[in-house]
Amino acid sequence: MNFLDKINAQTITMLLDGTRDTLLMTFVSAIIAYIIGMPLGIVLVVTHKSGIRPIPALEKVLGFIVNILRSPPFLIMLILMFPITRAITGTTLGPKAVIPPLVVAAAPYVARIVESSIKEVDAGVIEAAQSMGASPLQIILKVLIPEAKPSLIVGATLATTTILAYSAMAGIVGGGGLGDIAIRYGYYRYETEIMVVTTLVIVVLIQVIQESGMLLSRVTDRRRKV
Amino acid sequence: MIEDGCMIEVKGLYKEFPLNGQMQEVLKDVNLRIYKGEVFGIIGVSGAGKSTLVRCMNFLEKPTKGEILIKGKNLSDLNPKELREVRRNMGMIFQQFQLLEQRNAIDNICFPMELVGIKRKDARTKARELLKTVGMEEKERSFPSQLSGGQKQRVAIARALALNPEILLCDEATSALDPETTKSILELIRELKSRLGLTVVIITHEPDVVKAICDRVVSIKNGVVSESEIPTDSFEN
Repeated sequence: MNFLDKINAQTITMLLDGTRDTLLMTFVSAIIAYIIGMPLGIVLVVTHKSGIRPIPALEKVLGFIVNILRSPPFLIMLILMFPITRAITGTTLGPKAVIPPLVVAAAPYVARIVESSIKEVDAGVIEAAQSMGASPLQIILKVLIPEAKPSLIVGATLATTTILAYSAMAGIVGGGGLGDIAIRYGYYRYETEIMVVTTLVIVVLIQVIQESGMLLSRVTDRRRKV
Repeated sequence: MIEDGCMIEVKGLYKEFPLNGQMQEVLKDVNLRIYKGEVFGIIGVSGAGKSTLVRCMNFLEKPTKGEILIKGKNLSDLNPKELREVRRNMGMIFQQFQLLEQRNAIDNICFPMELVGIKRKDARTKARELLKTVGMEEKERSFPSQLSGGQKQRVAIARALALNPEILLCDEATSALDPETTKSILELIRELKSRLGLTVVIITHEPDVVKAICDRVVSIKNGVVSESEIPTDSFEN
């Protein structure tokens, strides 16, 4: 059978739908994961014993929770989350049902990425802001986040591509999207061509997200020599 | 307390840091009175505790024991908000300049004004005046990565003066600069001091710096400040 015979209009429609579902799952999950993970990451830095508002007990507890949530493999997390997912979305199938486990898996990961970006901000610059009478909140909003921006964008790129890869894994439990197509057609039905093409689409998506993220980080970074 | 013009008073100051599990005394019983309008130098080799001393003056470091009085106000008695207000009356410049890398020159100078809620338009007008004062009006839109060390320090000085402070703390402000640039920055500080009636505290390890600019100098060694002042002309040799 010719490789291209499989790639008919129906397949293309299926791949386009799969791409749409995958991007939807990825970006919605990434946004919600950032809404939770970004403040969490900032709190981890700020409340650290060497932070601008040290509350070591809180930092320890949050760090512990983050580590626990990051521990289970994503596939296990997906299954463990079934009851919660059903309570939130009313189903455990399709793209919508993949979002809650993706968020729960990604938010602590995002928190750690944000934490490491924020930690890169020079302690001397923070001290200078304190010497000018900046409050902790002003330091967060006007020093930490803006100064860490290029690194935060790189981190968001990393997080988004990781979430996309995870979302493909959700195909195993009928999560929809490209991963689902690859498993159902490619693996269960031995239609290797479909699996290959689907995987290629995922590769392209990851490349595009990765490269645009790096470009955005580069062009917004004012440290570059002009 | 301030009738005699004492701007900064350091009384029985001790500072300890943990080092390898042991407490290390960095400052031992430091007593100083710094008066309005003078340039006060503190000279010492690195590790002598001079940076810690200047950081105690605006409570970036909290003393282990002893008191810091700024215009008669005991910093230990202040809540965080009151402390921030006192800090706004004390500009500070650093060896590594510590400009915000993602902001251009004028926005760096606007930063302290943003913190106190000065309107953006007014802040920019004031920032432009300051850029002119420090001779950087051409570099308004340059980012720190595009400026030389001396230029960065000029922007940092403008930023330190944005809230019209009465005190300027200089922590090794010229140590990262070449001799020529050092000279021009010191001239600028002296000129600003006369024009604005600033009280300046200079921390340095360079005898040339205190010789060039200080009215009074003390030395610091192993956390102990010398009892007597060093006559500034003694640095001629």
